[in-house]
Amino acid sequence: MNQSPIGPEILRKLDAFSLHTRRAVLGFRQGTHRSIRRGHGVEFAEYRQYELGDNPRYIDWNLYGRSDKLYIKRYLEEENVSVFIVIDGSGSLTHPDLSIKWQFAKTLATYAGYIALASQDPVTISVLGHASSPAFAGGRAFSRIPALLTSLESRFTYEPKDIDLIKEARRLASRMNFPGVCIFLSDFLYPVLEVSEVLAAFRARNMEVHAVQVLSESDVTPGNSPDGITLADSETGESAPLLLDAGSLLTYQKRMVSHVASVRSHCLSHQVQFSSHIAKEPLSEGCISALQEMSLFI
Amino acid sequence: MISLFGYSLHALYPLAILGIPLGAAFLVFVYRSLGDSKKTVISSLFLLKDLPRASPGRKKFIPPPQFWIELLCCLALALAAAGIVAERQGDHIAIVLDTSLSMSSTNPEGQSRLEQAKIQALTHLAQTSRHTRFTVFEARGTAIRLTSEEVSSSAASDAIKKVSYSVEQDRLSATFESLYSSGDFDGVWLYTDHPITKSEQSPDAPSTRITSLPSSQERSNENNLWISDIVDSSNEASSDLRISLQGSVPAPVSATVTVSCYRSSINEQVGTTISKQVTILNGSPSAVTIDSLPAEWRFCKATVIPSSTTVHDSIIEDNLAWIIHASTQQQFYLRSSLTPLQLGLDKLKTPSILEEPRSADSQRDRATTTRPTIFHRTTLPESAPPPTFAILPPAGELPWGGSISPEEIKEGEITRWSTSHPILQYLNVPTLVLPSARIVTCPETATPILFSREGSIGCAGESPSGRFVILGFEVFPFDGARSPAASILVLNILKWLLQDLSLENRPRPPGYQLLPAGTVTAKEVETNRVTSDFDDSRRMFLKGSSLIDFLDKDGNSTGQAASLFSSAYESEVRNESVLNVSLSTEKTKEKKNTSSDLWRYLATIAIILLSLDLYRKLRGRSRWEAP
Repeated sequence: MNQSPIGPEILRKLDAFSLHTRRAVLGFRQGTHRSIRRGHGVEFAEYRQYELGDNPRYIDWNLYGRSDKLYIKRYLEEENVSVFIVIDGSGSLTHPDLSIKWQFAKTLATYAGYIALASQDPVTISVLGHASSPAFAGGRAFSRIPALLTSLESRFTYEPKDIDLIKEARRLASRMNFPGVCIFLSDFLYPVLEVSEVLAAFRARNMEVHAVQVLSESDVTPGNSPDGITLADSETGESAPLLLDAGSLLTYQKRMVSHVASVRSHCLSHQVQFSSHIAKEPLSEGCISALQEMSLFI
Repeated sequence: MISLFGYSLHALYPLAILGIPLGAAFLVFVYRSLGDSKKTVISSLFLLKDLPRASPGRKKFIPPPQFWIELLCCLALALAAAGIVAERQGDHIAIVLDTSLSMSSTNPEGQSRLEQAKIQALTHLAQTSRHTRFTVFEARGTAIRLTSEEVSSSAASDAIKKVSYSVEQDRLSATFESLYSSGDFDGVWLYTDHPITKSEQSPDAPSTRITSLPSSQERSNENNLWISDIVDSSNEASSDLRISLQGSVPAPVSATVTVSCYRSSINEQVGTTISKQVTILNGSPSAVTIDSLPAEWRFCKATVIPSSTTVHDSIIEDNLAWIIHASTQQQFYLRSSLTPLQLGLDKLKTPSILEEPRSADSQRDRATTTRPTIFHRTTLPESAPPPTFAILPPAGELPWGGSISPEEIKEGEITRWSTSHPILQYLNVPTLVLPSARIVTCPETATPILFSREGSIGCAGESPSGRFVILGFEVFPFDGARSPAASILVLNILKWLLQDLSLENRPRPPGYQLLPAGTVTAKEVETNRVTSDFDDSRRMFLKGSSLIDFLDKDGNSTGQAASLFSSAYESEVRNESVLNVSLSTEKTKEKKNTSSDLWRYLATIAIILLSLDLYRKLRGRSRWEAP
């Protein structure tokens, strides 16, 4: 599990992916994504009447010959896109007993980061609740992929504290200087209202938000104990002795399905791409299939 | 008290056993009340909050492994506190059978005293309870245990049936006393032919039983004749033997003494068989002189047979004697029903005793015993006749001290040698090729002369009686080797050994004695020695059943011979020497207190379990923790 998830075989699979944004982006340098800017790209965008100050080089002289009017030929600009990968750093992902979720989220973030870096897009990986976040951009970013893994492993360890996700999301969003793509990895096991607030923080920065839900087997089936089991909340530490008989389990699973459906519905209504995954071994296969489900990667 | 596996268990403080149910109940209570405090961490209780809660009372009690460990600990502690003591049920009896020569004495019906004793012992065995355990001893000299400790009556019965008499003299008084006072037995059953006087048997020691066989009346009906002494008065001119006879007979008896002499083996008789009549008086020895024996005799056989068939000779083993010449030039005689060859005289440490013809020329005789002897890949005798050249001797201890390693070095190369030693002069040592060699740990009186990388492979030294050389490798002096090194080495060694003889102005006949490996292995002796006074100047040690080692007052060996030794004390079948035994009740009481304190072991087990429990706690392996 702690081995580097990016082996030669994984790299070969990741190289088949490419990052495709749904809408035009506003980048800060030449890239491969369609920009909202008009400029000097390859794809023709529109004609515009010549105005004083326009560069005469862009005048379409053929059209002038036919219409005797001066038009400027405009092309679609292609720019890079900033990719922000945000991992929920609350105890529900970072608790040692739930490490499979953290490992999955970390691996998926790494894969997504790798694909983005391969498209010359800057990548920033952040963990909610933890101030320092590694950022990757430029030609040397590839070589820093192992460092990315190491930093995720060492920096973000479990701390038994309750994180205010909304506050942390807003704080993090305020640091996003460019609009781009935001991939938010969380288990979303909190009220839909809170989910809405967290996602709204990123959307407010004009981000194309992709919500990825990471669940574990224990989230789906917390345990079958007709004689009772004491369950402890990974974030608050609160414990509750519960009777998890067949009936209780069914009730819980219904609630879980309903909750996920609510989150999905909310995301759809707010133009947030949502996908849900159960983390299990082998992680690499689960992450690759998660990438395939995400519309961001084709 | 509980009987279990032949043990009776009882508690010194029975009330402490109540601690077992109390402790178990307490443990169950504690574990139930604490409950399964193991918390299963889940992501969030957000979706689980309204589910039905579990109450501790409804929970089915499934004890974890730690509960069982602590329950066992509680059990061990309670039993230890109760002072559990285990005692074997039934008595432990030592059965002692006198197997000295006198027990072979037969009555006119042909039944020996030992057979009567066996019948008595088996009868007594059949009357014991099934819990009684036995240890069977035979008393010949000292007590020799015939069974393992504490066997059942059937095993003891089997051991008794296999007992046979010996030719040794008993020392029953000391034997009985040592067994009786050892405290290992609840009682001693003694079967002997000695008349017994004992103190009144105590009610506290009912298990002790002393049986004297046969009765005085039967004893008076037994007669015996035996050879009591032999004097070899041979000299340069003549060979004479004086044979003394004795008898336990009520009236004078006529007997025939027959003497046959041999050269080197039982098949080479010299001269004719000589017979003489002699009258044996009750109690006093009668002597007869056998003269005109052939000069070349090496050993003779003497027998005595009653002339009248009406006289029953109850012990036949003491009617036969062998007279041999030892290497020490001292004659002695053996009383044995076995021939010298059967006794292993041909396998003695000095094989020349029987192989060398007797010679009147004592000078030459001495020379033949001191010629160099070469042992080549053979089993070395314990005291080799020096000077000796031993080539690749067997692994193990050497006769002169030191030892030979059993592991061979392949392609042993001589890396170092003592250039000053005369054995290695004119020798180009590096040309000596050794296919294999063994490490020789040199005796204290020898110096290593050749070395390989692993250690010394050759030694030369001098013992008080002569020189010797030991080589841990093969040498084939004349096998057509390319280098003459091996030949030079052998010649140097022989020259050095023979120089030792020339110093004493002895003649130097070349000698070579090749003993194939394994020919002298039969002379292995038992380690236990039975001492018997022989005379003022020498002592005779009986090694095992067939080898006698003569030692002087300083303990040095002066000669060896084989024999079955018996004494006139045992041949005197009417011997009324009374055996005094004292029976005290205190000794048996000591035995009663030797029960095993089981509680100590239980306490130890409890401590181990507690340590294990604590260890599991510290290592966090416990599934049960306080909430």
